Amino acid sequence: MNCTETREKLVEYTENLLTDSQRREIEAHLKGCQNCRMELQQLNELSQRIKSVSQSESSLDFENAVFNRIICEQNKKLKQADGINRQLHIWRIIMKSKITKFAAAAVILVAAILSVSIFNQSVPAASAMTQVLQDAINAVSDVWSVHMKARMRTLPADNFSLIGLEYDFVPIEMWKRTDNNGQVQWRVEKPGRVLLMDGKSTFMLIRPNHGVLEKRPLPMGCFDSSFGRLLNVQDLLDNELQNSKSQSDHQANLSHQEIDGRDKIILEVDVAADVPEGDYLRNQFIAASDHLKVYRFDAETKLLESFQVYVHTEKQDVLIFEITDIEYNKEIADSVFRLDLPENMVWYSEPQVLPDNEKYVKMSPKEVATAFFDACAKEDWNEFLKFWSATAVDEQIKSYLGGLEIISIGEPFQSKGYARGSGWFVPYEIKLKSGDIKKFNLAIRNDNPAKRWVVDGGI
Amino acid sequence: MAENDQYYIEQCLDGRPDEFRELVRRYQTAITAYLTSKLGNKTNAEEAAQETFVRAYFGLKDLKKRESFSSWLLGIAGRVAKEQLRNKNQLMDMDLLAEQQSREQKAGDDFELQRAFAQLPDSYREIILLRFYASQSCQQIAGNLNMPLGTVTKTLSRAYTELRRLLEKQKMKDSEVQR
Repeated sequence: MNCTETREKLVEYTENLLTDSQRREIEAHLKGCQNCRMELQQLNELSQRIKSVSQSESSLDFENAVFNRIICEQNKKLKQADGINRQLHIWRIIMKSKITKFAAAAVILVAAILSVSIFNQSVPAASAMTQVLQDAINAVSDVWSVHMKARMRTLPADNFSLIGLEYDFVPIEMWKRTDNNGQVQWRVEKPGRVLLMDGKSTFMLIRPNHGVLEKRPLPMGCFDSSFGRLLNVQDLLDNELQNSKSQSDHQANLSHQEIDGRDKIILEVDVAADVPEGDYLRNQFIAASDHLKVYRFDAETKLLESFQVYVHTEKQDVLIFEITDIEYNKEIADSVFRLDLPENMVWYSEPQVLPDNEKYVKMSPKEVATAFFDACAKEDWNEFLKFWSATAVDEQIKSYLGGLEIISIGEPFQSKGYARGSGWFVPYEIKLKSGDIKKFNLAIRNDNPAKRWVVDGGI
Repeated sequence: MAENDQYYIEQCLDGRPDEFRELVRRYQTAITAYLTSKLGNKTNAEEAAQETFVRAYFGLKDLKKRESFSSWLLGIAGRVAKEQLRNKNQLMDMDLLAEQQSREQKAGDDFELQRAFAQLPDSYREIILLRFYASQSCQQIAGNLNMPLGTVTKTLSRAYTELRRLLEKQKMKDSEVQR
């Protein structure tokens, strides 16, 4: 190999891309050629020099800043869309929907629906809704398996109930089956979380390796997975039926629709937010928003076929949740009700009473936030665990929060929607070891057997 | 484990917008470095880098050649930088900019190298960004850019040569000034 050939191959040589024989040839040449050795040395020096200026960690804050801007931008786009009459908007959405391909002419919107019978001409007007719901309840009385596909505007890794008008849809899948002995199993899943009740225990896996284990079957809707209750179709509809009977101000509407030549019944129920306007949690959960539920039943089989939730905002209604597919009485594979956990699981558990429990019970919310961030600042992870409901502190949390500097702790505030009004949000500003500044609200609650304050969000 | 850019783009377009995070993670250092070389100031560069990713996110569906995501991203960054400079020229005089640059200069920042880097032709700069700032191996670069491995190593080799030439030129200039 001569000098020209060697120099042409030097980059491949330094990048380890040569075959053994090519490598040996180059090394043989280098041994005897001082100029090429110099060339190689200069190349190595230059790449080292670039390496030393290019090495900087990617930052989570940068990533979050990008996503915040994306969300703002999306929000702007949503707002730019015309604010239109809610009813019209919903119909427009239904008509645009791929699932419900039907001709506009086929839509029979029965305006004064309560004065018209639904299934046959003999039903008295006032009880039309009761009749629809009762029929739908009867239709699912012998259902032994349910499989639903849904989507919700939420964050993939966040809890099961957070919503955001500007978030993108995240896929959700749910299964439930009852065996011959009446044993129930169910599973609810979104990209970052799995909730499984295998008949004996209830697991929540927060991907990749965090989890909660309760060695007893918990009811559907546990761990904030309120939409999981949809799997109990019978209870869901029964609940709606009871509401329609007991609440005098119950806002509901029935209509007919024809889809692919089949008659469908649409039930719309309006629900008011359970927190006042301007509350911190307003529109962050379905229950904390003024919303509209839309049920669709097949008029012949009476089965529930789809379910949608729209959140009312000043300008328009935003589709926030919808079941896109329901299968009844189909075999579900056993593997759906098993969960393979990673080996390095970190389990969250309820806080236990400490020897010096009293000290932590008596802290004010502001003191809690201060003590919590102090523990992070000093990297005192034993102290950190006094405010944390897990068995260990994750390395990721350690490297993220360790050595931080407190800039300020603000005045705590509450929301009726958080921990039944007993939790607190404490505004804070901290400087992380990475140099990034973080300003947010720490969520703390003490509704646990030890009555201690634990941080359960806002980091 | 490490999928190529195309995989994440498809995931994003398939209704999993959170997968865009991986692309941000992959290229944030490279894009910020590129913009620092264009804007000469790290704070503005970070701001511009964020803007670049936001535009990329919304433009993703229009990206035809998914294998050239990184070049496309650099193209967006270039446009963002141009806009910023245009706006800034109206607001800020160049002395102030130079002063700001020198204030931001820390020991160990290797200003000479960054200056030479800023003068590299785009294709050479791209390969250095991918190799060092995005920490991709030559094989990964070849995969992402849909380019033969030989072309990648040749371009990298030429980029080194050009960088050395620019550094030499600067050295001579600097020593002339000192004399």
